[in-house]
This record gives sequence, structure tokens and C-alpha cells, in this order.
Amino acid sequence: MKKFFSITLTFVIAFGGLGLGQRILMPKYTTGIVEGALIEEYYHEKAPHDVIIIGDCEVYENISPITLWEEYGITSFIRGSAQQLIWQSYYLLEETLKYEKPEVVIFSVLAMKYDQPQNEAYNRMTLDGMRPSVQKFKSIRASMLPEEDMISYVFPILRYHSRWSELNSEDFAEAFKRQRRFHNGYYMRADIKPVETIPEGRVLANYDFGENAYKYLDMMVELCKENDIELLLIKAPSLYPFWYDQWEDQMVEYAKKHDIEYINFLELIEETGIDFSVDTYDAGLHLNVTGAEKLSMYLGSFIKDNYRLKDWRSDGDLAEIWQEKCEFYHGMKALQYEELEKYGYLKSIKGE
Amino acid sequence: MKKILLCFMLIGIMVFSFAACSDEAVDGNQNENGQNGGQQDEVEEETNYEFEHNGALIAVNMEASEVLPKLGEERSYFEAPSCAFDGIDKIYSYGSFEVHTYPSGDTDYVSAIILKDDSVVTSEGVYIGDTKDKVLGTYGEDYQNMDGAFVYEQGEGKLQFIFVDDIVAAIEYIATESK
Amino acid sequence: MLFTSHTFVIFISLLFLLYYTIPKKYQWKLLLAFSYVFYFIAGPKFLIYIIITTVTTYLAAVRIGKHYRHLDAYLKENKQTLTREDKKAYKSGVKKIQWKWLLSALLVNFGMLFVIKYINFTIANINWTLEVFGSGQGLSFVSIALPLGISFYTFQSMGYMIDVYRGKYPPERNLGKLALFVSFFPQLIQGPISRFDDLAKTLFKEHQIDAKNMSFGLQRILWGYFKKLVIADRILVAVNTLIGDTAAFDGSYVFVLMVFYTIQLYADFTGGIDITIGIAQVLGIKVQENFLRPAFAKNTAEFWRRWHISLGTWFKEYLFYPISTWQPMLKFTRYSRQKFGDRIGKRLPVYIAAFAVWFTTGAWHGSSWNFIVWGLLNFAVLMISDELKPLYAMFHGRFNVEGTFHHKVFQILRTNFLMSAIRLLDCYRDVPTTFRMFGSMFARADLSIFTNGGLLDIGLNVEDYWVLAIALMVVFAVAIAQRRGSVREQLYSKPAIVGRAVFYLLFVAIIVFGAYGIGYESSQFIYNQF
Repeated sequence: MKKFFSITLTFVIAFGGLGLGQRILMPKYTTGIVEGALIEEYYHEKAPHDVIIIGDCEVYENISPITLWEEYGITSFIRGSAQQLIWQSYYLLEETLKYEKPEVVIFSVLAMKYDQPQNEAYNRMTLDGMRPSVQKFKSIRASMLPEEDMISYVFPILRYHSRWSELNSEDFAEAFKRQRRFHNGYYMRADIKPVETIPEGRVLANYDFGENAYKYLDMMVELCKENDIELLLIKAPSLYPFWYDQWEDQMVEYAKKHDIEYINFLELIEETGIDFSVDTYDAGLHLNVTGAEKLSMYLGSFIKDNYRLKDWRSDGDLAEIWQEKCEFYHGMKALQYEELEKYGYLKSIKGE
Repeated sequence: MKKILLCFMLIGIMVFSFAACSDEAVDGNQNENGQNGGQQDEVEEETNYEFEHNGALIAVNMEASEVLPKLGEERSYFEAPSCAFDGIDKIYSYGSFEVHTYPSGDTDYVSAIILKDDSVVTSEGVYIGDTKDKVLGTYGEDYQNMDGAFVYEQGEGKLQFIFVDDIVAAIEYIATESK
Repeated sequence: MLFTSHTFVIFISLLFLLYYTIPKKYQWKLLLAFSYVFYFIAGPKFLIYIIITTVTTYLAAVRIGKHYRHLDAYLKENKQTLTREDKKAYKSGVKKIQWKWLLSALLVNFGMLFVIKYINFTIANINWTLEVFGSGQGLSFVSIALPLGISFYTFQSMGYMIDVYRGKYPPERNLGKLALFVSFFPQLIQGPISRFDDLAKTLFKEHQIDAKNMSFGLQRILWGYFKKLVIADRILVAVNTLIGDTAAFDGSYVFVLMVFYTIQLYADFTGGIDITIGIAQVLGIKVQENFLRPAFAKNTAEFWRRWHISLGTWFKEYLFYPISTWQPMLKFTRYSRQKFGDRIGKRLPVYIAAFAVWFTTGAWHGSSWNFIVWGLLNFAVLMISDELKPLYAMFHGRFNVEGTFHHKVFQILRTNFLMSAIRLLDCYRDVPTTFRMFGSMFARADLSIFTNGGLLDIGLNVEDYWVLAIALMVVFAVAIAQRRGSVREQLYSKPAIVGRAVFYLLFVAIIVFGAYGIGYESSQFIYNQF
């Protein structure tokens, strides 16, 4: 009996130790490239959302769920991440349905240009944050590049062990509980960098989106249909990467064929009131907070007019939850503007 | 007894023919590992395709700081941010062509040279607007066909011709290996 | 399959599990199956070579054994009727037939090895010769890839063949068992080269679960991975950088390369053997040691008794002695003793045999001149140090330093320096370049690289050096402790928690500090293509 107990204890301490080490060694994305911390924040949500938004930086930098709440009482969450590939979006959506059932799902179609796995760093930022699940496993399998392997996703310590020489205080401080950095998946940037010139798109040999991309788009459409969810496809008003007419045509045709709504915000610059001299923080790739709010005003109005969603501002419990979120949002906004006044750039984002 | 010895000989001959006829693609100098690891393949130094402008020769993977001064003042400069990482790729537009760079460590290297109109020409004399046959005649048949584009690989990069109705619509020098 | 791949870890875990759950009489068969699966994964089309080796070895050995049995029976039967001359004549007649079998097997197998490994080298030299004589023609090269472990298993099988021929032991009648001996997978990648009678003691037995043995084996495996992943793979980055740019890294950097390459080779090779022996131990099989703290050798001769022991033994047993005791060679010995006097005359044939052995040892390591020169340089050092013996004796007669600690340290450092210097031929692969770089170590010495951060320009940062330093200290401490007896036994005698803590720390050290994964070049195990 004693032997059994001592062996069990040994194993517990051994694996516990390794688990702790793993938590410490995994990157926390606290400064600089913070986008790696996006996915994980979803699991801390206390209330369901009527709108789930999936996609890459074109969603998590251009839409403000706080504005959607404050102006329209719409509850939403952006499950976005850096260069999120379409199958990663699909599996994230499938996984989300285990936790809740939204009324509307919004997907940014820029990811259609990536038919195959792209980059290990981006894969990690999207996948490591997911909780273990069948969907995570499938997403990993679909995303892996030749130099990657499954076991280093199951045991991330095998991937990040070499960080031992770069550990800092935040790796320890946030080993178990992460600080909140985003606003229901929105990454706030209050700085401004106006658009100068955007290079024209290069001539492509082939403008058709890949088969793999279409496959997952079909699956997404199917999933939404099965679950009685309205799917809305959007193209964000990003001036770069270049959005070709041929791509636009394909999306318009696809949407028509499957009877889905498709909004191209590049054609709604006037309607949304976006001004590229003040509403972007990186010369046209992404909107900043003022731009995101403008776009969200339009988007919210569209949602209100087209989908019968409840205005949840009257619900006491939800209002309380969202009140706190709004405070956090406006607090961060104020801080960022303060930093801009003082230093001319966002010191805290840079990690200085 | 002799029969079995004969069998042995036959097996031996068979084996030699196996060995000789095996078509494993291995370079002629099959160096052993000796006492240390890995095989060091001898890589032939191939030159990259070069583009000439203003008397300057540029090719992919050259250091940007060496190349750009020779091209004069750029019409416009764009830093291409990506989804999460800071703006790293740079695009220098010179009107009729663009030079793209990428960083490796602290240095920027040329990742691509994009020809945009027929006022510039490749070092081998092909313009935008030339026919597919001219390309074949100049560069030969040793190309890869990617969605209709002709891709000629050499050294650390490739030279890509995109056609619209069999006429050259785009010419791009692209690095295939990074520093 | 690399030892350090995830696949391999799963592979042996599966083997360990199955090995002790199936009926014991199938254990060796399971090993055979796993060995062939291992080989299959390495390259299915190469299976034909190892099968040919197995079959030819089996047939020839069985035949030779049969002749021995007939010989014994005949002699016994006719003990009374035969004269001594008759017996001798009969024996030599049998020997002739047996020799034919042996020769066939040797020709087929060594022939295969030669063609696969050395044909391009031969062609290159033929072409070079033709060029020298002005001929424009040349032979074209052949495309051949090396089957996994061919140098190791060929030598191992041929050793067995020669042993059977010499009547050392009867041949293995079970083809499956012989096949296992030839293809035993832990030995395929870098040896050791086992003797049949030695390995057979435990290879085919039925094995119980022996907790102590298994835990010792696992410790040994972990120790091997520690040396390989934490030390060897880490320092490999620097070694490759130094070799990759001979223009930038000459002068004192060559010395750095000497040291670093030695560390890498030691850690990688001994680590790999640790894994091999450890796996065998978990399976209840005893594989002979291949290293005996070689860094502590006091002279080259001793070094070769401590390093890659199984190879040295093989060459001594199957090349050196046969050559030295060959009739023509004995005749030559007598001739040279007459011609050149006793002193030289006695040594000449030994040196000739040794030359042949070292030439072949060099060639065994690689099919290019740098390896052969490496072998010959070893021979030169051995020969010179032999010739210098009287000089040393004179020196030690004068000064009373022999046996002192300082003298021992000097000897150890000298031997290591010599061996590391010769090993540079491995690094630069080209003989003239190696000599040039070695020369530059003195001609363009620049000791400032050790103080101005020059060591941080070769792919390792400060943290890496810390890890290496600590890991090497651990290895050194273990080596010192080993002189008092098996380290694992010493641990075993402490309370259980100590052993488990060591085990755990080793494991964590490998996981955290191992130089594996994305960001590190996937490095092949040294000796992988043998």
C-alpha cells in the first residue's frame, strides 16, 4: 500500500512539475505581439452572445463589440486571431457551438486567399489558446506545416522549452491567470497613422480561390444552416492587402448562390464615414478605435434591420456584466489617449 | 557443393546489379558521415536572375542597403504591416517597377522585384507585352507551370512570367530561399 | 528513424509494453519483427541487402558447421584406423571446402559493402588517374544510396562467419535467430559490433520483468538522451558554423572547433551507445560497452582501447591477427629479421599489418580520402610513439615524473589534443583544407576571440554556454564517480527518493534544455549512415 501511494505521489509531483513548467514556459504575449493572447479570453465569458464574429485581424481590429452593445444592445464576441485561416475559423465556430448558440455569425472573407497552411507562428497564436477538444485536434491537423508535429501541440512544452533563457516576470505572473487585454475579442488601438500611398495589387496568375478554402466555406455555411444561424460574410475596409475585383466577384457570386448576405465595406466608405486620414493606425491595413466604432455603428444598424435580435440593455444581469466591460473599454481608451499625448506613441503596447 | 557455390556467385552478381541499377538520386560524391553527424551536401553556387536598371544589377537576396541607393529616389515607399508583426516588409515603388524587401536580423534583403510596365525589361530582353513564345525562346523549356504562369528557378530565386491571353502581363523576380 | 524522434520514443515504448506482455518464448521473435519494422521505416527497398547478408551468412555458416560435425564424427569413428598423416590430409581437405564457403560469403557481403559504399570513391580516383595521364574520358558516377547500418551489420555478420570457420562455436541453426542477430535494431545505427557468442547469451533467452534491470536500463537511456540532446545537439550549431565558413573562422577558431567537435562527438556517440545499451538492458539483453571514459586515455594506444572498442576489437581479431599470422607474412618476418636485423625486422611486419588495419579503419568511416588520411595519421601517431619509447624511458629515467598527477594530466591533455587535431579531417572533409586550417591555428592565432565576444558569434549565446558548462560538469562528475563502480548501483544504494529525483531531474533537463524542436537544425545521429 505504501509503495503504491509513494509511486502515485511521485507521478503526481512529476507531472505536476512538468505541467507547471509548461505553463511558465508558454509565451504570454503580454507586449509587442499581443494578438497571441486573443483566443484564450473567450473561455472567461460569463454570458452568451447573439453574434459571434470569426476571422483574422480584419475582424478583431475593425469591429467594436462595446459599440454594438452601447448603441444597439447587441451581445457579441470576436473569436478572431492573427492570420486566422478559414479552417481554423470553422473549427473555432464548431467549438463555440459547444458553449453557446448564437443567432448570427459574421466571417471575414479575406482568409479565402489562404488555401494552405502558412506560418507556424500564426498557427501557434490561434491554436495554443484553444482548450483541448476534438475541434482543436482537427484544426491542428489541418493547419500543420511539414516541420510541425502533433505532439508538440499536445505538449506545448516540447515547442517552447527553449524559452527558458528568455523568461521574464510576466511568464511567472501570468502562468495561471491571464490579464484581460481585449474587449470581447477587440484589440484596441487609439493611435493614428494616416494612409499614404498603397501599392497596386500585383498581377496574379490565378485569381480563383482554392478548393480547400471553398471546402471550409461550404462547411461553414452548412454548419450555420444546420444550427439555424444566420451567416453574414464581410470584407473589412482594409486597403491592404489588395482586394482584387476577381475576388470580389467570386464572393458576390458565392453569396448569391447560397443565399447569404455579403457586405464589402470597401464600397461603403462614405456610408460608414471612415476617414483614412484619422481612422487607421497603420496606414490603411487596420482601423483604429475611432474607425472601428464607425464601422460598428453601421454594422450594428445593419444587424438590427436584418436580424431580429433582442436589445439586451434591458436585462439586468447582462447590463451589469456589460457595464463592467464598457468601463474597462473606456478606461483603456482614456489611457491610450493619455499615452499618445505624453509620448506620441503607445508605449504600453510596445512594452516599454 | 559446387552448385551451391554457384548459387552464391549468382546471388553476388544479382546483388551487384541491384546496387548498380538502383535509381536513388544521390549526388556523385556520396560522402560518409565518418565520425560526425550529417552529410554535407556540396551545394553548387548558382547565380540568381538579375534585373538591370540605371546600370545597376539587382537580384533577390541582395542587401537592400546596397541595392536601393543605385536605383535613385523612389516614387513611393510603403511599409507592409502584417496581421500581428510590426510592419516589416517594405515596398519601394519606382513607377515602372517595385522592389520588395524583407528583414532578416537587422538587415533588409530584396525579396522580390516586380516589373509593372513595358518600359523596363529583364536582363535577357523580355518585356511586359511580349509573347509566350518569346519567353520560351529566351529562357527555354525548363520551367514549372503554376496556374498558367511560367516559373524559372535558379539559385535562391525564381523568375515568374504571368500571361493573359498568351501575352506577358507580369514579370516578377521572387526569392525562394530567405537569408 | 532517429533516436531523438518522437516516432522512435513511441516505437520503443510499444516494444517494451509488448515484450513483457506476450508469452516469453516469443520475445526474441518480437524483437526480430520490430527490428525489421525499424529497418522498413528507414527504407523498405534496402531490406533486400540485409536479407541477402542474413541468408548468405546463414547458409555458409551452417554448411561449415556441418563439415565440422562430419569431420568430428569421421575422426571419432576411424580413430584407430587412421594415421596422423591421413587425419591431417582429411582435415586440410575439409578445411579447403570450408574455406570456399567462407570466401563466398565474404566476397558476397564485403563485395556488396564495397560496391555500395566505395564505388563512387573508386570511380573518382580512377577518373583522377586518367586525367593525370591525359585521358579525356572518365567513368560516370553511379547513384547508390546507403542502406541503414550496412557497415555495422556486415562487419557483425562477417565476424560471426569467421568465428564459425575457426570453429569457435557451432553455427546458429535457426534462421530467425540469426536474422535477429544481424538486424537487432538498437545496434543498427552506430553499433556496437557484437560477437555472436557474446550476444547470444542473452539475446534469445526468455526474460522476466526485472524491475531493477529495467530501471537501470531506463536511466541509461535517459542519460544517453541527456548527452545527445543537451550537449551534442546544442554544440552542433557552433560546430557547423565554424566548419561552414573557413575564411572567417580560422586561426584560434580552429582550436575552438577542435574542442567543440570533440565534445560533440563524445556526447553524441557515447550518448547514442547509452541509449542502445539502455534499451537492450530494459529488454534483458546485455550489450557490451563500447566506451570506457576515453577522455581519460593517457596515450593513443590506450585511447583506442577505450573508444569505439567493438570496432577496434573487430579489426584486431579479424584483420590484424590474420594478416600477422598469414604464412607469406610469417615468411616475410623471417626475411626482414635477416635483412634488417632483429629490432626493425620484428616490427616491420607488425607495422605493415597495422598500416592495413588503419587504412581500412579510416575507409570504414567514410569513402573519401580525408577519412583514410585520418586512419593513417592515427597509425603514424601510434608508430611514432612506439618508436619513441626508448626516448621516453630515458626521459623518465632522468626526471622522476612518471606516475605523478601532473604527468597524468599532461598525458591526458596531450592525447586529447592529438586525437582532436587529427579529427579535424572529419570536419573540413578536405585534406589540404584541414592541414591549412590546422596550420592557421598557429600562424594566425588570435586569442582575443576568447575575450572580445568572438565565441558568441558562432551560434551559441551566453545561456547556451552556461547549460553546456553545467552539463559537462555533470558528465565529468559521473565519469569520476564511475571509477568507483557503476553509478547506477551507487544511486540504487541510496534511498529510493534519491534515485527517483535524479531520474526526474534528468528527464526535465532533457525536456527543457534539450536542443530539439523548431529552431534547431534536425541533426542526424552521428554514424547514422552506417
